[in-house]
Amino acid sequence: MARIFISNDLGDEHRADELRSALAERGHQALSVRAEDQGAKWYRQVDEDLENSDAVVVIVGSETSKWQESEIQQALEKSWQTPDTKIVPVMFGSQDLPNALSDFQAEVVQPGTQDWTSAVVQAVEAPSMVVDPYPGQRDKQRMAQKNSALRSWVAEQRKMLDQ
Amino acid sequence: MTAAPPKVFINCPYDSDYEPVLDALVLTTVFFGLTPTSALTSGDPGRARMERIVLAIEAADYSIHDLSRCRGEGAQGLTRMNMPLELGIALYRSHKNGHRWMALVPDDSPHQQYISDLAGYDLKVYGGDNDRVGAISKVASWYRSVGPADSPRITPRPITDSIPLFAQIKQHRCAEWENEPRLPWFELVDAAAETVDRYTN
Repeated sequence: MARIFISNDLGDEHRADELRSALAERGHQALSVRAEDQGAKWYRQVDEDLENSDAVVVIVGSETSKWQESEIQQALEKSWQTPDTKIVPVMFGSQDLPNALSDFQAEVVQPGTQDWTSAVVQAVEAPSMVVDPYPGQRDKQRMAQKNSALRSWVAEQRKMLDQ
Repeated sequence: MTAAPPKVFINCPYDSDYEPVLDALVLTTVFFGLTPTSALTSGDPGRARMERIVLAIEAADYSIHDLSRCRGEGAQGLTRMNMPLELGIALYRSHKNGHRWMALVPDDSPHQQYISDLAGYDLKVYGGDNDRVGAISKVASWYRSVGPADSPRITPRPITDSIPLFAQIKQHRCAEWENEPRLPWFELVDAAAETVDRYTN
């Protein structure tokens, strides 16, 4: 049995419920802080649940609330500390995968798919793949471009201060 | 005039105990292709310090606030209030025009008592002055989540690996500045940028 943290926005509560049932059928325990629990103690509860989870499923909605943003940030930190933590983003339709989740293999659910939870459960149960902690060539190029703009700007600021 | 990458206003203590964390915040920000600014960014000396800070926050898309020193200090038990004040300005701005902010608090911080109005916000708890790695992880996950869409995908590992090189570059520059204990802000940012340059090449 695995403990799976489900992160979702209020608008996707029905999907989270479907996934909870599918996970329970396979003998897994779903952890998630329900909408009505949101408040000052919520962050502590999320901390605790994430700490105790073996995998995190993120249902990516059309908008991300500050609550879900926080869950995603904490899930990322957990994956950095414990690299075999599985994170499975689930996307409905054709929206872009948020940058925060782009290191992970997403499950994309096509419109009209009835049994979308099976693929997610399968992804959760598959062996985890450890994410390379070092940036690839494309990210290094992006870093170099932005860094070059930063250094030019800093050089101009220093020059202005010297004058 | 070159356009700076999006700016991040860093509101934190500037004492020597905090320096390792400040370095970590600056280096992480530069790794993500962003421009660190602070109250130390000189600007027009003709303006009052507070006015310069307001302008710096106004010019920044993001801000990071560390409430580490918000407790009684010295014989009189005085508390430094500059950081909560600047956080308040950023919070107001976030409601007006989409500025994004995050706040770091050390794990022994009684912030729930002294600034209870922030209950319901996700203040990021880390280990304080001795927890550079924790600070990098909190800030990196925040940038990954709320930063510009074209940000490089970075994990904390290359940043923490680069700290010794950053320290070496800083030391070299301090010597050039006639052993000033603290580098001027732009020199510090450029030292971080040189570190990233060497990392990417």
